[in-house]
Amino acid sequence: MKMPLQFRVNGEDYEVYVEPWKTLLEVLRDELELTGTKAGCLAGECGTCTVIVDGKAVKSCLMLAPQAAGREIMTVEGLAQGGKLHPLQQAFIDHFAFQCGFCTPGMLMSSKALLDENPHPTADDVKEGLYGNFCRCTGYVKILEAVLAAGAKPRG
Amino acid sequence: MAKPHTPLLVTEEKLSIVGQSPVRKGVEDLAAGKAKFTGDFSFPDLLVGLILRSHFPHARIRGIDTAQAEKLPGVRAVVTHRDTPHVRIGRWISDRPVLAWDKVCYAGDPVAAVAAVDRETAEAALALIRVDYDELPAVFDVEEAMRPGAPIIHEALSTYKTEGRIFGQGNTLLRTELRVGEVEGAWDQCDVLHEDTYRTQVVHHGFIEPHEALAAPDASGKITLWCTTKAAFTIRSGVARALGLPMSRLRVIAPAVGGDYGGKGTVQMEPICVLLAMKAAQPVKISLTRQEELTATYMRQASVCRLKVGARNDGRLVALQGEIIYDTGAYCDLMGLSPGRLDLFLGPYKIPNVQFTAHRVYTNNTPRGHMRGPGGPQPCFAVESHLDMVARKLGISPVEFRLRNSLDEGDVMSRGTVVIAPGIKETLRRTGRFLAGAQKGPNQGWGVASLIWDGVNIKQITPSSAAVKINEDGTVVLITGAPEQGGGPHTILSQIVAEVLGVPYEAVSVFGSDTDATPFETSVGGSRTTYRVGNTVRLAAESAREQLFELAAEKLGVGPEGMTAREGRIHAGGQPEKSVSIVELAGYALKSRGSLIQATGRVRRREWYRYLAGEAAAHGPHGEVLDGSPQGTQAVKVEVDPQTGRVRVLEYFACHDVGRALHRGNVEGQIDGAVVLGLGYALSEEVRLKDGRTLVSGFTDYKMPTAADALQVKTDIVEFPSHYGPFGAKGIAEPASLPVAPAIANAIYDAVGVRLRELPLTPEKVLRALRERGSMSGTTPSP
Repeated sequence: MKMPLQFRVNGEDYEVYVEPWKTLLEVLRDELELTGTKAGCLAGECGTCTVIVDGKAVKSCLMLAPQAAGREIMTVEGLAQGGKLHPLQQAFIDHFAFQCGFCTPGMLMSSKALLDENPHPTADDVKEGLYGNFCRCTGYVKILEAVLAAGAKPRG
Repeated sequence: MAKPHTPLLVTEEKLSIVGQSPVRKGVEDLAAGKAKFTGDFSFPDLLVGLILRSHFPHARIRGIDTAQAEKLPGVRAVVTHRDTPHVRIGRWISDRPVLAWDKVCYAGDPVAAVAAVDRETAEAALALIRVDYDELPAVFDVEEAMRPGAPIIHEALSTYKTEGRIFGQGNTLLRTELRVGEVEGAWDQCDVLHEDTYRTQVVHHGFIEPHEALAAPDASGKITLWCTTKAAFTIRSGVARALGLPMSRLRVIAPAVGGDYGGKGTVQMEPICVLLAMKAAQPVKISLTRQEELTATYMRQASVCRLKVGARNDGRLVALQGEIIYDTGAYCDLMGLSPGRLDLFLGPYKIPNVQFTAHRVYTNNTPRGHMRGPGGPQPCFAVESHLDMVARKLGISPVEFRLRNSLDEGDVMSRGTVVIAPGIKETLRRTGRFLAGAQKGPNQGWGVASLIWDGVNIKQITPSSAAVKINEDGTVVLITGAPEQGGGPHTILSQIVAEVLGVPYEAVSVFGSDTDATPFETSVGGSRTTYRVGNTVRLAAESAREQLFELAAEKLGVGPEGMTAREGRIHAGGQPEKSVSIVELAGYALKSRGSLIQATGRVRRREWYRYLAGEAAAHGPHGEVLDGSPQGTQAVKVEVDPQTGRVRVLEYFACHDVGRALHRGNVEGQIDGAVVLGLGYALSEEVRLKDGRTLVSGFTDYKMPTAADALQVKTDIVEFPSHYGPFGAKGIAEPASLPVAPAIANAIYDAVGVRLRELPLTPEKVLRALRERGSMSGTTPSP
């Protein structure tokens, strides 16, 4: 029943044998042990499982693993480079953009996909970009501030 | 009168890290996706646990047949009540079975559970369990449940174990009356009377991390349980009692918690998880689905509140009469209804004549418990909406009306409660100044609401202890049973340790919570973590500092009198040029004492009790003193679309007395989050039920605020130091969410002149109210 699947995750190649009905989220968490991506609702509603697939923000609980095969995937673990946090992660820290931090991985990935596409978004752009990610702690304001600050910085 | 120790009042002292907003502890791990939440722990042989729940809201169990499920390949354990002692559990009252044995009381009541190698197998096994039920008459309306002849949900209620006294007539679990003065004789003195009824809905905490538990047995039979909790010791005692286990066989670890808002402080499915793991002799994880969250966890109670209030033309409140009925569903987790608490429910006011009754009543609805300000948001919505109407009838501004009736230092509330350092009047004055420049356009309006919330009185000195260890390099570890649930306790507690010991904030790290390793801690929560746990941690740090002083005295050849700890050094009293570094002392301790500097702190219950009782006695025979009670006032501007009934929030002002903001960024974060949580309660969220069955299943139909609803809250922080909190702190987490719904209802009235009495304030309700008013004004000719 299991099938072999290849992925490139955070720049590394992986091959897994999984049932075809497993979701990308399950493969990331259970097979690759990349538990930074969180499971909140398993129904595509909360957004905490958001990852980037070929440059687009995707809710990994809604994507079957075979649909992700052969594609380039980035998770929250892939943001920091060489032991240095990504400017978005640093902006989230500097702006108190999280409290419990459970929604943060998804927020960061949605924000990254947004900024990659639109490096200098307006507040309304960010609200729209993060519309699919729930946060129950912060009231969102500080998250928006962090993304806007990261967007305002020159990016290399 | 002797005080237990001198409160550290802020004005006297130059503080270094307390009052600053340092980077929160643990944030790098959270941002990098490295922080471990319960769901992130795993084992190679981990099983999936699932729970079989009743579909009937009220039914007798005739039999449970698990034979087919047990035979299914891949199933490792099936459990029913036959595997448990028949004991009931619960924090305030033990009314809930772990797995029902005689009957189920709500649609969602756990009946059996399975552990299997994967989710698919576990689901198949659940489908093979046969439960025979005899359906019983059920009751879903809380007022019907109070009437004679209603189906009784807990026949043996009077025999249940409880921390307090239960009323226990029929389905009425609790009935508490607050009676002061003579209400009946007071109505004649009133120039204005106003009567109305208010209703609130059931809402869920909406944490993004659902409840999860992972129980792993070792070969000796000891079980380690990781779970989503802010109260590891409560889980340990609850599970031990539920399953008849000695506590030494249970180790409960609370890792990072993905949001709490009052919902993760009590035993939920953890005993079932442990039971499955014991029977399977393998690790088992249970993760609740969203549907289970919205069905089978302790949510905020729906309520009905009736009020009659009278006031004089000079704006003075004369009398309040009323009642509130909370629908507690099938099981009540915890909610005190002392008369002193009812006093707080009625707001930060002096009302000379009061007769107010609160009821908690069982129904066959889903269970209800704590959520951000337990018991508070319901009466706050009613009372603050009601007072707005009284003020309007009197022609006095809502802020002025509240100012004339609110507490001053030394004032006694209805039942005799004296609130220490009440900041309410200052929050009202500042709100008044803010509103003085406020503008509004057509269909726009401003609304105001105030609140008072619990601090610490004699009954609330719950057990707390902590330890501080100074490493040989001068860095410090704080060992606490308080987990980090998102509210920032680890950050604030670290600031307190750094301040007392005079070490850099970065030098302090936090370990906890683990019942085998950390000192006992009741819980974080109740907006008292900073106050209560902060005090304990301060005492631990002060005790460690005493040891530093002794060691420094030896090293410097001076007496320990007047010594100070600052900037990583201990300075001799009177000779500040004589000093020794903490690093040196830490190493010296290991050599000379054979141990690191380590110290514990604990809540000094007896001394604290004496202090509060002494203060109370000074205020009359029935006095009760409340210290650290937070108060505040919020103002909101809304715009109502008369075509659609949609309410848009345009501006938000939140002024709160927090005693002392130990971490300003954290205080603002709590206020921001509380206000938006309150917006959901006010405008959109409702766990709808029909005949006991939950109609919402996830975030698609349970409508929480999104990023599009983000609000730039203008916060204004008042600091009237508490007498006994660390550095004068009071709480903020719960209070800031209380006044949101009434403030919005009052703003809607100001905008379009309709009074909405039922939460949530949906476009449908606004539109209906506008139409009703329209049709009324159509039939009534204007003079």
